[in-house]
Amino acid sequence: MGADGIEILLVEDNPDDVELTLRAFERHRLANRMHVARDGQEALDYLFGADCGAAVAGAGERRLPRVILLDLKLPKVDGLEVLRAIRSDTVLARVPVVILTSSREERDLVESYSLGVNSYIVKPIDFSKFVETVQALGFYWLLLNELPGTSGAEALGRSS
Amino acid sequence: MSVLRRSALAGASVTGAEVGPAAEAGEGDAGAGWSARVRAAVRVERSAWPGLLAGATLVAVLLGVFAYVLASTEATSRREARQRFGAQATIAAGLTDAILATLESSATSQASSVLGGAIDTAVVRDYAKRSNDAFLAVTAGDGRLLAASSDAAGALLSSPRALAAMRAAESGAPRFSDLFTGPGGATVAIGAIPFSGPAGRRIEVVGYPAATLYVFFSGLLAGALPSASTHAFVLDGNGRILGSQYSGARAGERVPVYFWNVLRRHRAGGYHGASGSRYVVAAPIRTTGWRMAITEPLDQLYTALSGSRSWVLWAVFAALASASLVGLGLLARALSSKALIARQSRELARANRALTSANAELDAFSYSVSHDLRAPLRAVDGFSQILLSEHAGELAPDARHYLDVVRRNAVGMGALIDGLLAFSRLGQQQLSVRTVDVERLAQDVVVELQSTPGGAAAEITVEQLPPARADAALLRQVFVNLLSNALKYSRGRSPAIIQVGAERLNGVPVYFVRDNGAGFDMRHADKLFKVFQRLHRAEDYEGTGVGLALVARIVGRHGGRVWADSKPDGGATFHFTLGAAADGR
Repeated sequence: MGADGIEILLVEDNPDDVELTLRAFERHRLANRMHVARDGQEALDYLFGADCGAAVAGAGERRLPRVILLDLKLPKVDGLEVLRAIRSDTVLARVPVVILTSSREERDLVESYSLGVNSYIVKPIDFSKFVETVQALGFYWLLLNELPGTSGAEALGRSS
Repeated sequence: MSVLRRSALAGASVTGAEVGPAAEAGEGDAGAGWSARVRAAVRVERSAWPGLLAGATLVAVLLGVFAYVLASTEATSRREARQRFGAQATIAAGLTDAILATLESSATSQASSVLGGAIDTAVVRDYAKRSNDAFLAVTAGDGRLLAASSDAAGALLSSPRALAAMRAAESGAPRFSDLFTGPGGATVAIGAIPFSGPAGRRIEVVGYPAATLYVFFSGLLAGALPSASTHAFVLDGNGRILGSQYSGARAGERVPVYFWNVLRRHRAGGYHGASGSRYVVAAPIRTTGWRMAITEPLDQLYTALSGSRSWVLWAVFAALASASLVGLGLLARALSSKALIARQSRELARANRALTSANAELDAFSYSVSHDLRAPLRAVDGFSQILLSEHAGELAPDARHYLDVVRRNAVGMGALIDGLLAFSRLGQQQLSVRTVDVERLAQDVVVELQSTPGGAAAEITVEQLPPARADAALLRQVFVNLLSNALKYSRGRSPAIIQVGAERLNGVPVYFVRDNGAGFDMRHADKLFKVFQRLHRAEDYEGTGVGLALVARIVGRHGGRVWADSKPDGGATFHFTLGAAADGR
């Protein structure tokens, strides 16, 4: 978990999607525990602590959100690259990553899973369904799923 | 292709809408392909020209060299043949010369003993008679007449011919004149033969009758010539015949003009006369001023010497020439087929590159569509719904209705995009074909659909279905689409009855899905399987128009075909096969 109490890192470049996702999480009171990165580079900087004064990326403090929601098509560094970087870092490798994307492309699915993604979710167009999906996501990854050194109950207590 | 497509659809209008692999493959642009191929073939012929030209030139040069050598060899041997023949004439003339010289010397010694002393007309007449001379006169060394065999003979000595002969004879050697009509009308030639007797130097002027000369020379020539085809003549300076072994010749006759024209200007030459094309050569008979002329037919002249060899060589030449022609023909064919193959493989490679890049573009396009086109729709739907749920109080009832319309359209467009993507992806996707338990697959789909709101009320039966070789995931999609369709169009029935079954047609299993729903008018059947074509109004039956197009494409990729029977309000039956190889048993 992050030192600043961040539970969710949302990596998404589309501001409308960001707003909709935030709203969906708002309904479940998770939005204030969310950090948004608008492109792949920003996500990496955030995770590796390069944005808080460390001279070399990777030398700063690692931030460990409870779950990373990652879009695939991103400016600068694309989602799969971000995923690869996360999985090749010994500490970050433990953080669950959920691909949350519009793409239904088979190759995106295959590549994401071969890079060790935990879930692959296609964002539905229907907002009601999207809300349902986000609710299920949060419920599963933040409440049910157990991570080393913490518990779902603790996470729930802290987030509410 | 377009013809195939048309015929497939023409068939459809009779037996039902029908889409098979032919129509599926008919999306290409083969119409323009034919003329391009014809143009390519013409270009091939042109591109083979340089090689062909080089080959033809080489062959022509080789044949030319061969022909030149052959011709010059032949020319050489012809020249040699003519030279050899000319030598024969020279030899014959020389022999005649020698014989005449011998005769003259004996005549001279005889004349010196008989006519060398005191002479008178009686002596001269007697001597002329014994020698069978036409006439005889004897003069002194200075040309003064001493005695003559007749007065006419004496008078003759003042003729230019006799004077010329006598003047020449004064130098010491015998001289002879050309033939002329002498005293008494006989044809004669004069001979002036100088001799020395007891009374000093005298000249015997003899008139030789043409007939006598002819007998003498003919006898001489008859034994002297090697070939029966050779004709020999002794001719005087005017071309009159003094002697010949040729049976057609007559004493004192002139030789034909064409013959004489050759000899008057040249020593030798060819002519065409009564006895064919012949070659004539003349050689002077030194002491007489007369000529020896021998003739030979041209074919004899050359055949005898080089003809057979020449014939063989020209036959070889002809064989070589025809072999070269055949070779050139083969070369032309080889070159053009080689060029054709090269061009075809170049075109194939180009088409392949174009196809690869088109595929890559299509790939990028569909990826982009899949990813970027959905995001705005989600925003449209999402914010509309937020408006509806969080600002419902501020909105008038029709404003809420409009927002519902906006949402419905956004979701509908999402479905369209998904369908379109699935449809386009199907063209590129590799089939993973294995034996599929079709009956079980259909049952699974039915169970799944019956759990949806629309499916619960329907009575769906799955009969025995034969297994098939197919891509299971795609075949599943076929059943999902056909059964969803059946449910959709029969939802107004109570009960909706849907039957999944199979029959055999020409040994191939034909699967079908039958419903008792709204059906459609067969007049529009040709639109049934086309993407985005619908036979029902959207307010009656929702849909994107992709489902059946997807079915047709999947079936087509399996090598099968799909068709439908229906009538309005009479239900519909969709049949499909999975190709000849799809018979799983």
